[in-house]
Amino acid sequence: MEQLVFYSLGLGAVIGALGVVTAKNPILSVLSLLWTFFCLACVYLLIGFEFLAVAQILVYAGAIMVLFLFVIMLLNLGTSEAADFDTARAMGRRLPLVLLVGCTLAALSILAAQQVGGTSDEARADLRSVGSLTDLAQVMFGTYLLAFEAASILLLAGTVAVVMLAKRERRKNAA
Amino acid sequence: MDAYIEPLKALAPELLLTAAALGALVLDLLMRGRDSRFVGYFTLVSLAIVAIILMNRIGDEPTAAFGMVVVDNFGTFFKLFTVASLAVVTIFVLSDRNESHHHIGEYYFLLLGAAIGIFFMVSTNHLLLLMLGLELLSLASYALAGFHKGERKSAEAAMKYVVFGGLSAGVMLYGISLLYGLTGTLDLVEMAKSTGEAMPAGLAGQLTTSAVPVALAMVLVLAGFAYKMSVVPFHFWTPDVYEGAPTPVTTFLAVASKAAGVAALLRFLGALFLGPDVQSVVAEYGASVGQLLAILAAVTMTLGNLSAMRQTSLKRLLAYSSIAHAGYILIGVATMTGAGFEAAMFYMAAYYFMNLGAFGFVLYFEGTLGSDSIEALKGYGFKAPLISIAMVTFLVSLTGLPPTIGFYGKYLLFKEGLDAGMYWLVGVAALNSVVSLFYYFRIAKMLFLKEPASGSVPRQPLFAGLLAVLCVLTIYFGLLPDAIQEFVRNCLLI
Repeated sequence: MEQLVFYSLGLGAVIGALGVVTAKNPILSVLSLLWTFFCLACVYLLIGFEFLAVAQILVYAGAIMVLFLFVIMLLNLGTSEAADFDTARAMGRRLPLVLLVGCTLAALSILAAQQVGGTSDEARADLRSVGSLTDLAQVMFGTYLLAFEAASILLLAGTVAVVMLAKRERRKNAA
Repeated sequence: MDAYIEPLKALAPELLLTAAALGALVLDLLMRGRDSRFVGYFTLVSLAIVAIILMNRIGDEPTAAFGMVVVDNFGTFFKLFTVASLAVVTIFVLSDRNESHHHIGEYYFLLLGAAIGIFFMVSTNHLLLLMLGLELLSLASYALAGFHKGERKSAEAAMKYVVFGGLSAGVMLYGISLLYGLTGTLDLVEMAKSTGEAMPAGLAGQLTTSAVPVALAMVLVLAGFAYKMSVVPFHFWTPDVYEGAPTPVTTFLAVASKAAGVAALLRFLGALFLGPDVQSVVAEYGASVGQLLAILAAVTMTLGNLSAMRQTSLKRLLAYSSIAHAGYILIGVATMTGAGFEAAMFYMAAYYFMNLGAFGFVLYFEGTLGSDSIEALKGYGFKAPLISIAMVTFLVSLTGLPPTIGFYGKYLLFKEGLDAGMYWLVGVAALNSVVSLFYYFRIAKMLFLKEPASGSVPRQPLFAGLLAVLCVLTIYFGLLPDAIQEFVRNCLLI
């Protein structure tokens, strides 16, 4: 039963991800992304990470998605903007290559998964115990404190980069 | 509380760089974007302070901080390398004639941010921090590559870089998640050490059952390093990004960013396969990873050199040449011995002098002629003799001819390759060097053997002085490589 739910959620996530890149309408794209996030949140729930699942819904599906929608509506991006780049045809031409790479990777992953020495039930039970908020806080601000701080520098650099790229040039370059 | 304060000392260079980056940002705001030269000088001063701290650390016993950062000589070597190349890049930015010196405070912020990323990358055995450092470096590089956003080529370069970078980071992350799934840890030393009795199986346990999952994970992780070093088949971004990005950024990507990739790869392989507590079955597996790297090395240098021959743009030519050099460096890595790693590190040091010099010439030449095509070089040697003679020196070094540091670096790499029994690889590399002679000397021929063009070029004393220093050092260390070799030997990983 658990396996069945997992696989259907996984399939849902993949279909959603495909929708993000193939949809012509940006709104549809965003909605597909939302669906993908929702499926992932359910996967987190399934493996016992309740807080992560809730955070995923709140932060990604809630806040970030609304931002995306806002930007798209503000910029008034319709289907017409993207019409000169025919995504479906471009994908169609590269389909054999995409399929080849994808299938090879999938086959290798499945082969690898079959050959894995195995995770015991104890290890699984061990994993399940780390889902609570306290554990997460311990990990985030204890064990991985430095990585947490490094991530904040990363976000700052990202913000500056975006501002730099998006702000209007006041003067043309001399060259 | 002390548990958090105490290890901060070990992180002093990283913290200082972060402060400098924020300082550059604030300073630019205070200057109201009038002239950002001052921010450049501020960056240089902070880099100098970081360099002094790092110099004082050489020779200290390795320590760890926050269970993730390892402060050892190997890391310090590459941190010094980064700081030194960043200082030169900053001078390049300051003397770039194509750059308006207004509103470019973010330039310095992003350069320093990239350096913080490199600092994390080169001093950790923890895959999480490695990934974060790599992403920080990549993110800053994407923005830097597209810094001239009004120019089509620069925008295109940034876009291509983002797509390729995102793809290979994703692939690498997938590989890391496989490794984590197999071993239950992200720490490379732990990974190599676990006996495989506990669950999950651990690397050793998995290798005794079946090597397929480990092989898959390994190939995927190596893809991430290959992208940073621009090793075939992850090199496609290199020529376009090098050509489109502002030349100082290209210099940064070619020298500091590539060195970071090499350093991270050396540490990854060193901790996983060559450490003191490594399980024997894991160490044996390292040899086959070495075989894979040897094949990559041969393909990379051949493709880089053959493509370089057909280029008409100097920046593209140097891009392919940097791909070829990634191949040469991989010879040392592929031997999977301490001596081979030493040769690779020495070659990185050699690469520093000759590539910074060559890109410095490109910057100067681009600034005076407004083009980077090799055709435009005709007779340039008579117009700007000193700087052209320096360029010829760098070209000789890049080819690997005596009496330059490039020759000694290549000699070490070939020697280690032969010692490790990889005769075919050294043969391929030697043939490649002959090929590279052809296209490097095409530039030299353009500079001096064509009839002189009329007109003079503007003088930039500071910049010319920098190139002269690099040129003198290229020859000096070529004749007397002991100083650098001694330095590298003090900073070995294994």
